[in-house]
Amino acid sequence: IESCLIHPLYGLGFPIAPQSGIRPPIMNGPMHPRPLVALLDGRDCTVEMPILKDVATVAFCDAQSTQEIHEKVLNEAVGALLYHTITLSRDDLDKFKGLRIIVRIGSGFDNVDIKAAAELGIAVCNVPSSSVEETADTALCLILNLYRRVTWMHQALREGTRASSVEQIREVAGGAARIRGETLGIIGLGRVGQAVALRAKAFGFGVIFYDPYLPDGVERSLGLQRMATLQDLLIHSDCVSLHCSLNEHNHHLINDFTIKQMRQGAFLVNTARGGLVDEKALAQALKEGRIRGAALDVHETEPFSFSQGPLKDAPNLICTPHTSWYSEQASIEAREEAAREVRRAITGRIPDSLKNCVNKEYLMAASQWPGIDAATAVHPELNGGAYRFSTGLIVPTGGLPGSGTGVEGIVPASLPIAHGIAPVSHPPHTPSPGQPSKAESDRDMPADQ
Amino acid sequence: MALMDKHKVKRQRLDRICEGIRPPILNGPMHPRPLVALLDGRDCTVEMPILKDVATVAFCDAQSTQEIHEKVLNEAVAALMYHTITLTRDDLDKFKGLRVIVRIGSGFDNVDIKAAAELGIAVCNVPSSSIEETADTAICMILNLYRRVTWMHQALREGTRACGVEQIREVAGGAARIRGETLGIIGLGRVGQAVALRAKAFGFNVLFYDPYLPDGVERSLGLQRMATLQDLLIHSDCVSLHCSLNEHNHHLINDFTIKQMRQGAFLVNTARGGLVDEKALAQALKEGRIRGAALDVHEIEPFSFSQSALKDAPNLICTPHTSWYSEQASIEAREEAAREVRRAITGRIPDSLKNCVNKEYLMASPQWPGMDSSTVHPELNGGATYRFPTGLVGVPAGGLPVAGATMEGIVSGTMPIAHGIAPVSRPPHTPSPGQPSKAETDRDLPADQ
Repeated sequence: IESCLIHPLYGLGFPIAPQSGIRPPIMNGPMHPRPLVALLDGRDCTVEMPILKDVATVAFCDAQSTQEIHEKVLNEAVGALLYHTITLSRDDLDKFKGLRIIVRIGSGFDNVDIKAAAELGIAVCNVPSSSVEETADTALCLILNLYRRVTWMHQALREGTRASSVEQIREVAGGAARIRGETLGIIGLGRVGQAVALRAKAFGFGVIFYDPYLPDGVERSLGLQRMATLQDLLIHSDCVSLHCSLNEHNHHLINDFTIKQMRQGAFLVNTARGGLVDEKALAQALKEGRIRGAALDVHETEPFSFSQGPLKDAPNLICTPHTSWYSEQASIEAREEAAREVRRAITGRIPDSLKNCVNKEYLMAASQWPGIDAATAVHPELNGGAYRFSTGLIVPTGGLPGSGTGVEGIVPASLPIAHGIAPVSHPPHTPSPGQPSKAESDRDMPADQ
Repeated sequence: MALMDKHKVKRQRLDRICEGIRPPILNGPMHPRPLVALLDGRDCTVEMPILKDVATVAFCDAQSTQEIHEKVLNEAVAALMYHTITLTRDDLDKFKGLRVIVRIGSGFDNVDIKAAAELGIAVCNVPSSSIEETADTAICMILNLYRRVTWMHQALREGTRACGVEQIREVAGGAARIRGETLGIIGLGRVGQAVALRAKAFGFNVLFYDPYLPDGVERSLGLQRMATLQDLLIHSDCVSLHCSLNEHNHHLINDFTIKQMRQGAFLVNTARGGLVDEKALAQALKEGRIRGAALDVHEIEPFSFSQSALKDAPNLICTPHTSWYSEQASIEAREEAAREVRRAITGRIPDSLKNCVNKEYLMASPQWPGMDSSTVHPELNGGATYRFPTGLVGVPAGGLPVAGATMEGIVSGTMPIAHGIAPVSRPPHTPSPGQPSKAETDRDLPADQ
């Protein structure tokens, strides 16, 4: 062990060695205090608590950056839950000393450096299924608002416009267009893209898509037309809708150059990630009318404000504050699934027990998993090594932990669960590319999973 | 003086008309072109190419018959109109030579079609042009209620910022999952069917109520039919109106029927304002019994948020009677309306008409005796004509006609068309109830019909 943190309160040495990449398994069981799980960028753990309280201590940080996270959490948290409002770069991840699992409560994980996490032995997971239809329904709502202009006309009425005669009606509705025969171009035919495609067909849209990651033939499954290049899609679309995740290859996918490949007067819809669109270029195109209208749920800088940023004076905009995913049911489902993934991490093996690990391949490739058996692989101090922490931990931003009042289940008073120390995971066989990781069957899971 | 004599002849002809006997529309080389007037608009550019060789076209731009020039009241043979002017029995009585009225659009509740029939005036509509536009707008309204895009865009415009996920949940509060919700369609006509099929794509369970349709239509589209309005209201999470307004369904949605709706249901109306009692709706919105309403049509139009029973009601989305509009739909409707007028002028009324909505009432009224042409009134066949000054342009509200400069084809200088005098229509066999009237093949119509 190259370094060892002596806990200031308890005087215990316990092994942590971020530099060498060796991380202990998550300790749990009757001999050990519950591991710490922290919600980084939120305050409400009520949904997660019932699922986790018997295997973990749950805390919330309500932080907008790692600067705001209390040292105790940085040192001790084993699991982290987060939304999209905090970023975890390599430097941010380095600050955590005991982190083993990060779970994104939602589908996008571009705000986490998953490669760096893997190198540090941290698995990153997401919850890809909860908001698929909410997002697709919102995307269609945005598309229809561009074509039928309901949002803008409602706004005009609120501002006092009156349309007395049919000529005035035509004027206030000017630009409202027939949909049948129009072409909708979907960039990224994932779960949401497919849901959008099938809804759009019902309106008479001709639907085309571009997705370089999918195998041949998916277009035949759904009866869509596939374009070989992004340019092909842009050239042929009357309305372009983004449904791809943000990665290192597609930042500013929609930029000055690609906008000029779009049709004159096309529409643009973005419910995916703000970073896909160069807002300066979009603003210019809107002002010049090259893009007839844009509807954006996500923006380069969030939270979005009409009075700030490159879109400040752009006409023909519809914007919402990153809400396309939201319904009460979707929110609860995502939080429950995220909590269950954390539970699988704590009670099972990382990454084998995980259902939606997004950096599994990088984890395998990282140095700490040589292909040897358990007898020689486990560091002598990892098995049975202990770290303790104070009970009743609630960590307000930037302050000392106060004894817990608001968060249910913080005080570990119930009987310890009888399960043994989790062994070190053997490195599994390399999964074939594109195969989803198969989680082991969950042990000790409540029946209602 | 000579002009006075001509007017005397016209007066005698008009006296005949008051007895309920109306001459056929006279046209042909011997006769000046009949007068066609657009009552509540100014723009006849689309209608002109279709009518200019058989009629003189004028516009009145009137909001009531008070504003229509006497010349038009006396001489117009055909009237084109939108929804912004009402023709009651008294209004219809003012017209002395009117034979056909064509609504440029589908609803005709603003015309007393029975009174028109008694006066020998056929009323037609154009039911097909805006079906998908209206259905697409209805779905847009429904989606705006479920996904709250319009309200969140409005909130952003007003400066709301949503920084963390808790604030996002708050600004999006009320946004609901659609799959599993029940949409209740009142009136499964052309628009209702289009809405039903689109709604299915989003996972709505679709019900409908329509007392006029025969058994089995629910099986054609795979929908569930409710036997009574109450049944539909009880079972629907969202109610959408797609029926025409008639003497039986004014204030269909009223205090009593709203109380049959589910607590927190949505209401959408793209049909007719008169179907909804706005006072009752406002009360229900304030009390939260109705969670939100989206209305394209209102009891009083043009609608204004500040001057309405809905003045202080929350959770409203309103548009100014624009759900029908797209440029293509508008042009298509106007062309079809002009063609219907042309069929009336060059053919027989009502046999040549394609979309006559009061045919049964016409058949029943006194001036269609079931006899052959030998009993035709001697003055009707080849009877003298009525003339009007050439170059008749727009008849400004309450003003004298001005010699035409801007309107194409107003000056009747082209060669007369060689077709004979249209004979009096014999009453056809009574059509079976619900059967669309079969128009005779159009004679002398341009090939591009």
